[in-house]
Amino acid sequence: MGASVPVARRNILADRRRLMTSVLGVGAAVALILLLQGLWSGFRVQISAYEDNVGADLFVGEAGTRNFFGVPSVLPMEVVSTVRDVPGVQRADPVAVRFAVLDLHGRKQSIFLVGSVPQSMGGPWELVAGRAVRWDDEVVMDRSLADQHGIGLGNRVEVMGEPFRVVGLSAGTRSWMAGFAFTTHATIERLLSMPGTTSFVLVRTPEPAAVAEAIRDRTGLTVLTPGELGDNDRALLARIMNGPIYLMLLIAFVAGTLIVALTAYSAVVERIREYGIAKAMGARRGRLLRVVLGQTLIIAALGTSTGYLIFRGAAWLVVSLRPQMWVQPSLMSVGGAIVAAALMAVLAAVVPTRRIARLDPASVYRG
Amino acid sequence: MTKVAGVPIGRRNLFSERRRTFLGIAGVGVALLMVLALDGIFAGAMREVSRYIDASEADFFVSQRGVRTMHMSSSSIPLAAVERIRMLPGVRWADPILYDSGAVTTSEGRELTYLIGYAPGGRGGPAPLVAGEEPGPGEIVLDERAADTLGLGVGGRVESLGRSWRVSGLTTGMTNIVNSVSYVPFDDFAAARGLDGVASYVLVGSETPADALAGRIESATGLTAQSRARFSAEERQRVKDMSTELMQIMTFAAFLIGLAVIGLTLYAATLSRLREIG
Repeated sequence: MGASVPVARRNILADRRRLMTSVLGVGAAVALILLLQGLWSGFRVQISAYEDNVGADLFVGEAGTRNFFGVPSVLPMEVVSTVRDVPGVQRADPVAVRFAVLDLHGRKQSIFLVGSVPQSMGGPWELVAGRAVRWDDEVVMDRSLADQHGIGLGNRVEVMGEPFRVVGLSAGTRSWMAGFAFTTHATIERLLSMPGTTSFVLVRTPEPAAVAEAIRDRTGLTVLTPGELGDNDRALLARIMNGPIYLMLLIAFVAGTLIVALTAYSAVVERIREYGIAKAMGARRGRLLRVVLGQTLIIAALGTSTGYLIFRGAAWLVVSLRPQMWVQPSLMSVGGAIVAAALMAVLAAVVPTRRIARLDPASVYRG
Repeated sequence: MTKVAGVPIGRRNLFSERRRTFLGIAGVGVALLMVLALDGIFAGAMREVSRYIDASEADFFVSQRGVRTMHMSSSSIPLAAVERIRMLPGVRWADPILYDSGAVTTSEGRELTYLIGYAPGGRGGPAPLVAGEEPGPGEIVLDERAADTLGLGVGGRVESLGRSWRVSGLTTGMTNIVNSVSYVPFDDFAAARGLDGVASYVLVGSETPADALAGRIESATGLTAQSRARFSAEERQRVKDMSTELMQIMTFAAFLIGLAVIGLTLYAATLSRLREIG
């Protein structure tokens, strides 16, 4: 049995400069797909950072509450003592939360303002500098947000028209959408002119299921686990962001497909006489089409590998320059990129194969 | 001097293989589309986010000191300030509104909304109404798109702010990528949220919309006053500031992809004519 000639590989490797440009182009498209998916995954993790890390087993909110973000829950403060009296509750602390917009060096920065009672649950879970708030004119800010705007410990920032002294810096408390700023519960009540109210009661208990049921029975309020609240916030976010994200992914996919097609087509045109001769010598159409597909698959495979490397570099760069953006690559997104690249190869083969299919073998002998 | 017409070699080379040229043009177009689409999404969001403000009759918006936006913001001011503003020279009218983010829920689903509490008959309410009428006690006006999604019409019932509301009317043009705007009576809003003697913003109509009035309001009340145009611009700036990083990433990626496509097209065109050039 004679070894077959690797025509596709030879054709595509014949011009290394073109191959490199093409692989870089496909790599950029694949890297963009991976980066968008990584940013999206990171954002989905960030959105539930508070629920996941604050240390509560249950969140008690206004009846019908589903989200921690976007849809405020308002509860009377008396609910806190009612919840504390429920058997099995080890600890119950109020937390007041609201969005606010800071003007920092001419830029508008959305923040999620969290007010908790000093020494209780609800404050920052990772203090990297300074201390937690003790007094009403103090605030703990996310470190990356503070760094970005040159704010340090002891500096003053204006929140909703009032000056606050930065007494601590926290980590893991920022997302692309907003950074966290922590202050006292009383401050939020005053800023919002809503004395005697809170947003959620955070509950710590060794038996979350039984205690949740008991709180519901006693108060008629909504009780959610951090996981449920996080899932609801992710679903809310997905409803808003899925459209634009999928549009960007689709565009990156189309761009990658066009680059593969362009390279394969150029390689075919360049060797069109040879394809004609092969056809005249009896090469079946299927064989020639496999050659084209082989070329597009080689470009897609090399482009995917290059794209992954570009993605790693770009992710490092993005996270270094913009710490509020988390990039969380997953096996599924890498698998998705490989499938996307394979699809690009198949689709990109359409135009060159049509060119070969229409090729009249006699034409190559005419001149 | 005789002018000799030059041969457009570049153009001829480029178009000698039309399919390749088409692929190249499409590739550059798609790379550009990536930036333009994202830019378009944010531009749309910027326009939508300030729609309530832009459609308002108010010449000035007054908010809590230091609060310059509505979207993702909270503002609380004493109702007593409204009277002080009404007394100022140059002020034609001043009406308070309450404002909060929330959701309207039915058995069919749930739509995010900004809730506006206003005095029916006063300013700050829905304009225009495409069906029904302004809300009476216990009633709500929804945007028609939100109502449609929830399968509701005038007379239907929704849950919001922890209570049930009857839909009295429908407005239009107030649904955006994130949520819509719904309107309830000021007193009902205050009662549902347990608010007493406070408003979120004050809408002000002036005799002559001169910027000086904003300064007079701020001096008299200690609050922040902005013209409608300024308030709207601040709102759009917030969306713009949020989108900057994403736009930078997409622009760089599009630049790389576009560069690769142009490079490939020209390289292939040049290579195919290498003998002639030589």
